[in-house]
Amino acid sequence: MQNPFHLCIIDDDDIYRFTIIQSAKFSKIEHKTSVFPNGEEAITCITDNLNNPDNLPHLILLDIDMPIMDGFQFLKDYQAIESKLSRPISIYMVSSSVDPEDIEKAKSYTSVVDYLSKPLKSDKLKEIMERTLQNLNV
Amino acid sequence: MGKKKQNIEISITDLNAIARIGYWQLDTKAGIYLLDNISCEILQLPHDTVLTKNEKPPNCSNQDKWNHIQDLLNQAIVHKTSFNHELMVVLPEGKELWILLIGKGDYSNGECISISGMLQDITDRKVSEKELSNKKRLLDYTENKANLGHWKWDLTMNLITCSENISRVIGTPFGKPITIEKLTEGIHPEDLEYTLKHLKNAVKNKYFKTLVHRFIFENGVERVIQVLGEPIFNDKDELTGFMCSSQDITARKHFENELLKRNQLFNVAQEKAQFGYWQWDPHTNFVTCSDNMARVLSVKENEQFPLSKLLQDVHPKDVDYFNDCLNNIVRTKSFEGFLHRIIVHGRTRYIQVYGKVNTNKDGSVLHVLGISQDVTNQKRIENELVSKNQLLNFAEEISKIGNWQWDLSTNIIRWSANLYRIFEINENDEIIFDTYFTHIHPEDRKMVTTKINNLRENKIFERVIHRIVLHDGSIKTVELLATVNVDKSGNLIEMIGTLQDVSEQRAQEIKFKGLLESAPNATLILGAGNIVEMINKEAVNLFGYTSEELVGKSVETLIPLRLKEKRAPHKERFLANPKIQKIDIGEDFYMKDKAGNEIPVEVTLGPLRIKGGLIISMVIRDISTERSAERKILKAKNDLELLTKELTAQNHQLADFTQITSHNLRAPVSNLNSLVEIYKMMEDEEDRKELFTKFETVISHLTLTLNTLIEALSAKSHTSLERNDLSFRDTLTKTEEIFTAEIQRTNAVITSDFSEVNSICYHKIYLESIFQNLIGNALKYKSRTHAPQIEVYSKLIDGKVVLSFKDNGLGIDLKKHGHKIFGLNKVFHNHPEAKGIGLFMTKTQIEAMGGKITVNSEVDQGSTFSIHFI
Repeated sequence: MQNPFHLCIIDDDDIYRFTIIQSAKFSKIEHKTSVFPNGEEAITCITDNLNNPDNLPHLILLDIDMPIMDGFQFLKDYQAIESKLSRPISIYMVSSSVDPEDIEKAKSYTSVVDYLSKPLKSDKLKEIMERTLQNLNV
Repeated sequence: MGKKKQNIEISITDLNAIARIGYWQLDTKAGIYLLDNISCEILQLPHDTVLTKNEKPPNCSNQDKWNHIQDLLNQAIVHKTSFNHELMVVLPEGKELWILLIGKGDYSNGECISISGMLQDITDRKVSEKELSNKKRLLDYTENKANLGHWKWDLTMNLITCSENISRVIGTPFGKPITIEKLTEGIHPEDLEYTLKHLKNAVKNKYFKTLVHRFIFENGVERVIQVLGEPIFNDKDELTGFMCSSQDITARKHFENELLKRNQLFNVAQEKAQFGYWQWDPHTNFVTCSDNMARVLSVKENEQFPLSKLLQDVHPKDVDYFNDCLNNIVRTKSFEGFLHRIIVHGRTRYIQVYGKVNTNKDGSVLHVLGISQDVTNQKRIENELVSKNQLLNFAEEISKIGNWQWDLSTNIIRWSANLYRIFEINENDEIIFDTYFTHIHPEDRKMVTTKINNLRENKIFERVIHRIVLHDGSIKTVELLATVNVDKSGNLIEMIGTLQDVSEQRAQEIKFKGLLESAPNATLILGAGNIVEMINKEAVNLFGYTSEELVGKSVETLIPLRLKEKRAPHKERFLANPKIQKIDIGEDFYMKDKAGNEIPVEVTLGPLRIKGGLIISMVIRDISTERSAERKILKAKNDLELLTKELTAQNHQLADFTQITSHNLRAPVSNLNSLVEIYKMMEDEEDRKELFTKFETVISHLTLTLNTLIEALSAKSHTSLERNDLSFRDTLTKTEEIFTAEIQRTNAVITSDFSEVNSICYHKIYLESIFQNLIGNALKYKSRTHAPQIEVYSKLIDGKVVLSFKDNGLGIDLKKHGHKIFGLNKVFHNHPEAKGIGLFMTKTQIEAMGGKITVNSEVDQGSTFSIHFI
């Protein structure tokens, strides 16, 4: 595959990042992973690679609670540049918050495919990775 | 005939003996005196004594006297005249004998052959004459003293004989008759002409009117002389002269002049007072009157006129009455005043006549002096008074008021007609104090007496309402009002007052009072000046005053002073438009009871216009209970609000907890779950070992989070923490000590200003925690380019203490992070030590104490955290 599956994790929690990376390994799906500890770094990277689809992720796991720029602030900025993207990105919000307010808010963003609460189990991760791949192929 | 003549001669002789007249004859040739028996007896010589011309009789006191007699006779013989001499001889016993010697010579061929004469004993007459002379001397003396003189004016000779006094004054020898010219020589030149005219008139009128003239004495002194004269008539009723007396009346005249001046004033006064006086002589029926009256009557001043003239203006119907009155006055010799009408210029005027009867010593009437006064105005006033009085009577009757007057000096009590009617007493009954007193209801007597005594002593009388018992036993209620009149020295002279039958009003009042009493609310009836006139039992209960204590007082007594200003506009509004309304002063209205307690009330004012002004009924509803219920509700509401606030706060806290549990607890727990899953799937032991370090990190993170939460929970559950007065400066100093190393390392400068307020009552640990967290943050999130500068200052804003911490550090983008700045585990910088606990704990602690924390910040400029204490 010329262009392997690109998973992006935007989260300040290094333990979580570690578990996702491990779980992704367990899925046996060929992929590469990029990590951002807050929204700001992530949006900067995306903005920089708008016309460079090889560097854009296929799937983003976005946390809500982060320093500097949280998940929602990231989504706001992302919406502004979404139309300029050379390729669509599937964004899943993954948070430990069970606050319905947060869930509602997350789902109101059309950019967000789904809201998933932590912990994100290995098979669940495998499932969304597969679904994203399917969507890409169609 | 002869016999008849003889009889006459005998009679004459008898008469001569009685008159002691003797006859004698002197034979001039022989020089012998022949004396008849009577002559001898007079001279106390023996009968048939013959006296010779040259030899004095034995009883003659001396030869000279006898020679004087012979000379007198010889002269008569030479002058062939008769003689008439009065002589005094001294008889042997020493007795003085006065004799009148009258005789004449008998001539034959021109030669006197004899002298025959008469001799009369005139001793008695002479004694009388001497007495008269003595008296005259006394009179002269008197005249002299009294500056009085008299003179006789003989018209036949037109000569005047003056008394010694006048002779001396005029400067003529006494006894010598003088002419009128001489008499009037000394009269003041200005008075001479009219004096002479006056004398002429006196002769013409045969009547000497009193004359007053001035006289200038030799020494130049001017005196005023009054002359009175009486005409002298002879037996033929012809005027022969005047007997006049002159008197120096200078002093009196001076007095008179004064009097005249006064009289002029009096005249003016008379005219002003419209009265004149007149004098009527009932004998002559002539009248004289005062000048002003003369003018009114159109008669000449100072002239008398007949009575009919005085009556000319008298109203025809009153003429008879006038005459009757005068006759009555003369008859009774006492002047009873009367009133009559006159018609002047077609108008009727009323004249009141007073006067006096002058009688002489015998008690017969000399004249009647009258004073007529025009009392038309008074009469008019009187008529008015009468009609007013009728009205008053009428009014009294209608209003059932009577009036009374009690003259304390005479103890005479006068009642108005209606007062009799009220007491149902015969109007002719005499009124004494007991008349009134005995009618007073026995139960009321003491009260009335007290009031009357109070009036006597203090001259203050309050109205008193009491009952009277009439003769038939029926009872009336009357209201007594009284006042006093005092003389200049303040002594009571009279009490006057009114008494009103208020039985009906009383009945009405009782009825009204009954209604008032039955009113469920406290009610006051206010009269003029907001004076309490009546109160009901409820009001007594509410205010604690008795009716007696409150009636007569201003309603202000019941209103707290502090409400005075606030009430003013309402008061004005009410008076401008009096209608039933509630007192609304824009806040709770209170009234004050006797003990001074304020009672919340709702007051309704009801106006009633009466003739005398405005009566206000004031209905007062005690709303203490409502108010306290209201207060309870209010308190409950406040409590609820507080509770709501607390609950809201708790909700916020709950929200915080949700946040905390979802983010700060669920995150490590989910991490743990993930790690466990990974652990199960991992086969490589090396990998598993690495995994355990992750477990340790998560567990220690979880422990810290749990500990923070426990701390926060305990802060929130301890709302009533111990508070002390804490100094900001001391707390800052302590904080600086803790951060000494950091401050040195960062070269931080901390300044402070607590001049406005330096202390707060607060929980010590929390205050220290606030200082440590905020200063710690300021040091931690310092600018990358310059050393930290931290200002700590306190201010009083709206009475609240505000403590601020200002730094020049990194700052926070509040647009992005404002909503979660104080959240747990929120970090906004990728700072290695940012754990997101400090501000969360600070906020929790501040809110636990009831305050709040705010922040102002700009990225790269710095942040200011402000704590608003309560």
